[in-house]
Amino acid sequence: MTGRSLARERRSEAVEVLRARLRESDRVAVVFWPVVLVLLILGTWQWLSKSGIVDEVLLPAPTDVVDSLRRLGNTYFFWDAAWVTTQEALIGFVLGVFVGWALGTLIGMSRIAYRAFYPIIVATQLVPHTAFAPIFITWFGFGIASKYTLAAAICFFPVLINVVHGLETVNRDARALMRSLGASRWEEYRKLLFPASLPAIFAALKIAITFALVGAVVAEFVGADEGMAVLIKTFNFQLLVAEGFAVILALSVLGLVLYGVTVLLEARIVFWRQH
Amino acid sequence: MTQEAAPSYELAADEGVRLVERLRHGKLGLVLLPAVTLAVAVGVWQWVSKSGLVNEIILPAPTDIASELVDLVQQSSFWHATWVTAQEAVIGFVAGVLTAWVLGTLIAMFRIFSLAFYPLIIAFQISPRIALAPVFLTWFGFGMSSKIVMAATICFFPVLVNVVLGLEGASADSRALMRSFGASKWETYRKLLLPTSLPATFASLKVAIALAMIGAVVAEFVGASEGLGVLIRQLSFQLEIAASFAVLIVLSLLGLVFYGATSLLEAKVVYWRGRT
Repeated sequence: MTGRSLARERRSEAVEVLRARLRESDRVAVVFWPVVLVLLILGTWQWLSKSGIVDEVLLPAPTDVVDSLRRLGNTYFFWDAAWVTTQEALIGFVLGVFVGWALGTLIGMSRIAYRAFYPIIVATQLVPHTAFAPIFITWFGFGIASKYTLAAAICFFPVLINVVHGLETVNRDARALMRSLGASRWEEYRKLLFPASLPAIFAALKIAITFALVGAVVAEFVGADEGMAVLIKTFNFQLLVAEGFAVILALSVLGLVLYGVTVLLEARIVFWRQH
Repeated sequence: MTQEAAPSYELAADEGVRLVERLRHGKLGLVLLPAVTLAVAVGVWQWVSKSGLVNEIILPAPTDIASELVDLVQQSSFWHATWVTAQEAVIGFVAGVLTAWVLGTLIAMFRIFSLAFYPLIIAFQISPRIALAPVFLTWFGFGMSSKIVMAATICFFPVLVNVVLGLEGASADSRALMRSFGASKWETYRKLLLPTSLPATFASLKVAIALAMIGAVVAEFVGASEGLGVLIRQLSFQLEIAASFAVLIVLSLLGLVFYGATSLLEAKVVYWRGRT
């Protein structure tokens, strides 16, 4: 279990199982049963809501949620909110990744930095970051600055730890070879350590992008003037639950898109990584 | 969205154990250097705050935070808030874990469940479940129940995935052996699959308890009448940043206690689990 402390996703294991299944067993069953289950859930939901067993205000039918989404898609404020949240998540992601990568490289390359900073950084991770949201809002205001700061604060650590481990686990023989060829520290980093640690870094990026979105959403919940989480909160408090669900659906799509882009980038850049 | 902030927590805890083990092997530099860095960092912080370089209200000095903490622990309202948040997290954790364990077992044991649920689980894992907080608030009110449901929802998925992968992790050889002895499905489950799955299940509990805390606090941020999340928010918005930091410290300690308790439980129950 050597790779245990690397920031890997459990999800990817589940995805592998699914992939293997699609290859070997009868594909009809693999597609058929999930579709049945989804239809069953949506059907029951629709029926519960429309038959009046559960109040339609509290649990709007799936068809109403879709209607709301269509209506929201025609409004400017919805797209504004989506854009604000996307910006917060992306800026936070870039900041967090950069800080995580820079600190991780420093700690991975220098023994002194490792000993002096690493234990402290590890210890700071035992604080639940999301709880910092109100303090960040007091510090950086109700605008997007407090949102991307929280996003960055949440997503930098998986990157940092993967960079440190990525650099640590580079083949010793390869390092010895570089040194025996008279490579400088910088050359060793650029030609060996950096490329060798890229797969670990990209594995962390997939986690970081999902964290960044969570950070933006939580900070918006605590206090913001605009953004998708603000919409979700406002709609729900006005008992417009269908609209609330519609925005949650859109937010999930946003999350999927951001995640998908990161996966594509990974496939492009670290193409040699084994699956 | 997948694992919220918990993997950081889990990673940090794992890494902390590694560091402490190195320390045990007599590398004193491992204590000395971080202690010096920490002292310097706290000293600079104190100086920046007290010298007026950064407004003391915005960045209170470490000594002010400490004195706020001392004040705080003498107030009964503070202990009440801690008790509320602790309950929300623990009840949510238990509910989430039990549901996940039952559903995970069904998925792993019956092919039709497995086929039907797998893609859905993956889809749900990628969706930002934390965004459901306002919905739960509308459904279950400003009291504890909406927080419990949020905590349960968030900690449900990591456990589910690990239960399923754990149960499916038994080797084909041992399954074949069980079959050749004529074991029934139930016997195979009880004597082979369940014990094999326990290490993975218990590993996910540590993630789940950290997530449950986060779920409870975030749900409190969105709307609640009492709890540590409410306290942090109120104090921050009243510009009582020092007190807010003090509550954060308590929240972290609470998280550590929960995490430690879960680790102890893990060590007791799956004592055979190999250390890395």
